[in-house]
Amino acid sequence: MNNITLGKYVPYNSLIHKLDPRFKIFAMILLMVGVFLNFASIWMNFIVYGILLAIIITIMLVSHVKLSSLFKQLKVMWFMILFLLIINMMVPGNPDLGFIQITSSWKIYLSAIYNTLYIAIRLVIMLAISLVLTSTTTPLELTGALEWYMYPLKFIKFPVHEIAMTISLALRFIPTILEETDKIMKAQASRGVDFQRGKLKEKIRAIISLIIPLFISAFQRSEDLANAMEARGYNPQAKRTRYRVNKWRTRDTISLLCILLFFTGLLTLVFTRFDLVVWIGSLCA
Amino acid sequence: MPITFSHLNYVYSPKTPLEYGALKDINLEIKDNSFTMLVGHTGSGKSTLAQQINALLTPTSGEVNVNGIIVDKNVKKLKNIKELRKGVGLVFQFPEYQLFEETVLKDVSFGPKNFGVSNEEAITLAKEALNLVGISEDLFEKSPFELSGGQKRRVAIAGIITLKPKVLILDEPTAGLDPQGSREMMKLFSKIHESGTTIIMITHDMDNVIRYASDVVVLSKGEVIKTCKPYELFLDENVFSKLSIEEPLVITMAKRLNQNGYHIALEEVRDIDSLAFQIQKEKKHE
Repeated sequence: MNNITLGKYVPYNSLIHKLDPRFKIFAMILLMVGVFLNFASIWMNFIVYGILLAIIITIMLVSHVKLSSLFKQLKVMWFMILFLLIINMMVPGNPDLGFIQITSSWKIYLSAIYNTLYIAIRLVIMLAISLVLTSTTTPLELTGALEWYMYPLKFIKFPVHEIAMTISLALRFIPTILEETDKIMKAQASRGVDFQRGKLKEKIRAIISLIIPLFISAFQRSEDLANAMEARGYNPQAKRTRYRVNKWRTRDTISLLCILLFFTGLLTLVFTRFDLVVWIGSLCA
Repeated sequence: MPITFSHLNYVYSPKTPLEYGALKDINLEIKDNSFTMLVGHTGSGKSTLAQQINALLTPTSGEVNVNGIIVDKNVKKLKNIKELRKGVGLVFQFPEYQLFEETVLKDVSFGPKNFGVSNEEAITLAKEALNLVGISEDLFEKSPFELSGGQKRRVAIAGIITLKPKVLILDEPTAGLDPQGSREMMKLFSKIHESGTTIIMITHDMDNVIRYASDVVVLSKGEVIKTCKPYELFLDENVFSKLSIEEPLVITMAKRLNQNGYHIALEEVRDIDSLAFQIQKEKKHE
């Protein structure tokens, strides 16, 4: 069960945990955009990816996010990466980058391999970023920040608060439902269900014996929750105050400046088509 | 099936900040054909202990020996895990949530079928179990979700006892039932016990402890602090006050009578009838 709780908030007292969630969301978006920028050459791309990965791993270490949880996810991704490689090899690539001649009529373009590698690295980086965000920020903080970002939408009568409440309720019940899943799995295991082994037909039965009770209890729970909220006079239109107010501190400003500087640097590299390999080459010559 | 725990430790989410040692160095023997009750505060490790017995949770260190089948941290390799679970039936707290089939009968026969019993035989077993828990035949073809709370509980319990386990573990089976339903439920377990099943029950109800238990295990903060006969629980002020439980009225009364010159054997007092009998005996003696 523990593998499902990936990205669950883990209470530590690190710098990353203490940063303002609004900043954290912003930084996440910038870094993710950074991952998808296309630099001057293949090598330049890999260099930037390397830097990004190094930064993220440092952040992970600082915020006590386990590197092993990332590797666990990679295990699942292997199949997808292989599939991508095969698809990429089937479609004609860019012959300029060279190719490996396998038989007289079939060649593998190197660009196919590069493309696959790009996607794999991008996925790893994105996964790592979101892992850091969710394991250092409580769901409540996250929705608070989301609500703050959606605030302008209020002027076009977009139900910002309702959406934020829905999201925060959904996030709030993830651990509960995981717990419930664990409980039902155990109860069914006591009745002889084997969730790991068995033929396809048995596996389907096992899953049904889990899903039906889970749905029923989820519906029951949401009904209870709605009733409890109504009983306490919940009114979505009402103006609400917060117990925990996000306070923007100096460390948030400094972090924001750093990330902006880094992102501007990346953009400059893109627009000037700067290539480190060529540059070093020209220096040596 | 005797059950022996030796040097058993269990830690929840090890190596994280949420690490929590739920069981610490448990050494315990649960005798064959006993009616053992586990008592203790919420969070004292009762449920965790119970789940070790059929390998739903596996010890962080140490082992449980269930009639020769050894459950330790390498249990994933254990081939006879299914055999173990067939012999040890576990009914969780509020077991209603495990119902999922279209009809009551189908739901109860789900267990036996998982253990390789043929369809017809499973249905026979299911009918037997449903009769035992007192579900009338006209409910057999109903959807389990249409039943009342108490009926759902009975059906869920039938789903386990239909497996005819040698050891039946019950986690607060009477929680949330009305007094009448609770009494009937306890009578049912007593009947199952008399037919030769070891019963391990987690409970907070001291009246049930004094009335039905043959042995009591007291847990506190993950440790076994006392293993005794039920009446002894109310002689040990130390344990008694630690648990902040209420003494059953029959015991209080017997104790008061003894203070006033009676000589009632506390171990014979289990309920109102047995107390009355003891008083009668005392009177005749005079």
